Amino acid sequence: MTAAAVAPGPRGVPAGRRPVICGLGMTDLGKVYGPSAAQFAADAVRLAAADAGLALADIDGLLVSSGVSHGVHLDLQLDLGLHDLAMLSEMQAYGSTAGAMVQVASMAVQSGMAGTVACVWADAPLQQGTSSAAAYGAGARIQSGWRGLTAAAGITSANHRYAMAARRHMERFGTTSDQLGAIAVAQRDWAGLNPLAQLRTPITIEDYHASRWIAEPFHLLDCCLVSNGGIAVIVTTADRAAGLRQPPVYVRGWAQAHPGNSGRRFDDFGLVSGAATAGPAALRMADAELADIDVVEVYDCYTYTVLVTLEDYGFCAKGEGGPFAASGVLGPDGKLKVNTGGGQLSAYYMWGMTPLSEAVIQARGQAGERQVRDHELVLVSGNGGCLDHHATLVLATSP
Amino acid sequence: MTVGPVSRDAATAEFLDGTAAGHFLLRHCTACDALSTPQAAQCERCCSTALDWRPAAGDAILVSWTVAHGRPDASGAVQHTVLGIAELAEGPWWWSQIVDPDPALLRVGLPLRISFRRSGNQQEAVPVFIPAKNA
Repeated sequence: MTAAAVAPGPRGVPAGRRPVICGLGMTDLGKVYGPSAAQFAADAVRLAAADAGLALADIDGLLVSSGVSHGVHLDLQLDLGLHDLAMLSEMQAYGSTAGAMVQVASMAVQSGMAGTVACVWADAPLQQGTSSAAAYGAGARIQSGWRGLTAAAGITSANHRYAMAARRHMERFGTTSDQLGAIAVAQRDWAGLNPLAQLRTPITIEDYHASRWIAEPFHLLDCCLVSNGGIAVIVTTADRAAGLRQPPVYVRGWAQAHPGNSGRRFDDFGLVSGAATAGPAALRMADAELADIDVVEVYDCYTYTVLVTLEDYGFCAKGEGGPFAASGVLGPDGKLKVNTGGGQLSAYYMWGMTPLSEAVIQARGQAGERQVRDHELVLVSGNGGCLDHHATLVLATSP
Repeated sequence: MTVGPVSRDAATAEFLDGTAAGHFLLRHCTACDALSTPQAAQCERCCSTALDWRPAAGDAILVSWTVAHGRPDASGAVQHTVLGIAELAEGPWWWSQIVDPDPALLRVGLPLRISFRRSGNQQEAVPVFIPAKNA
């Protein structure tokens, strides 16, 4: 097998066995206090089953995952009263987990290992009266070991690591703050059309620059929200989906990339992400070209993450993500429909479920005021760690 | 306070013995002679697990950085901390604080020297970087 060989994708199996996302369940998201992550997860699966027109008992596979509160485990099966599952596992690839779960579920239904697989992610990091920073553990407690050494030196947050990635991109390619800000402004414009979004008030580039510094070059408005809640999707076969309630969303192509950065001289940290290999691989599996893509839902823990991912997917040349983002191409009136719900910057922070959920809504044509007219092919990214883990999905309205 | 406290564990004990003596120890491969990052459990070049320790020369260059802004304290003052990735002359990167730089001088390739700071007399010595011209 050569490096160029691609695993036979869904188009290599009989039409009836091709994987379809048939259900989407979203709990209340944001500053929602009370439920544990496990309770959010169970609610999300129940909502997804109802959305699909399935009974819980129809589910025979379950993939679970959680964020920083680590509250969703294999006993979710029992919480949901699911018996005799053909597949059950907890998955963790950070922000790429949602995409990875859909990939594993797709392979399971394609192979016949399972027939109807629920994939759920939930988290409850926010507690009433505490800050988002506290929720994500930027405390000053004594730590041990190698990570403790880094923290003792002051590197306590993903904000710091991504800020250094963004700074490196700026120094190498001339990317500017105005260009990062253009992404924040464009996504807020989309969020204004999304009733699910936590932040819907329009912002200007002046508001962006006036927002407080977090870790230069990042202002507050470069950084994602922190949210409580849970989201689930259900993957089944095209045959099974045909009799269900929702328009089928085909999982047409997928890939992952885990660069395993060397952390030494010649490391391209901050300059290139896993999207550079996973994007083209997923498109090949989907038998699609980048130019065919109608809607792009990109993992956006920071504005910078959107910029580097769009570059790596090839929507512009490497290094030109800044001028591209600031060219007016983004936002509801732009030519490229990116993060149409406002993303993690403005809508809700459900890790990889944020881009995935909006992708399903758009592909179904159920996005209301923010619906993109052409929505046959949707490209979805997930990104975990600090550009360490990547998953791409190509979703489609036809097989 | 420049750095915070950190407690040693089995993996970091020898490295922290080194920092206490003013050395930044790298892993040295007894099979191929390559130098790997201190936390490596196998040689980054040949994958051998036969490693001993070798002090770094102490020279580095700046790869990237961020100026981290704290939350305002009671008086409204905000603490700024410069954090960076330094590439040691031997090749490995180390993520730490850049102490007392002139922010206007921060640039890719800025020459740095390894230094050490403690959060208190009884605390472990934490590797940091200082601009080479201040060394």
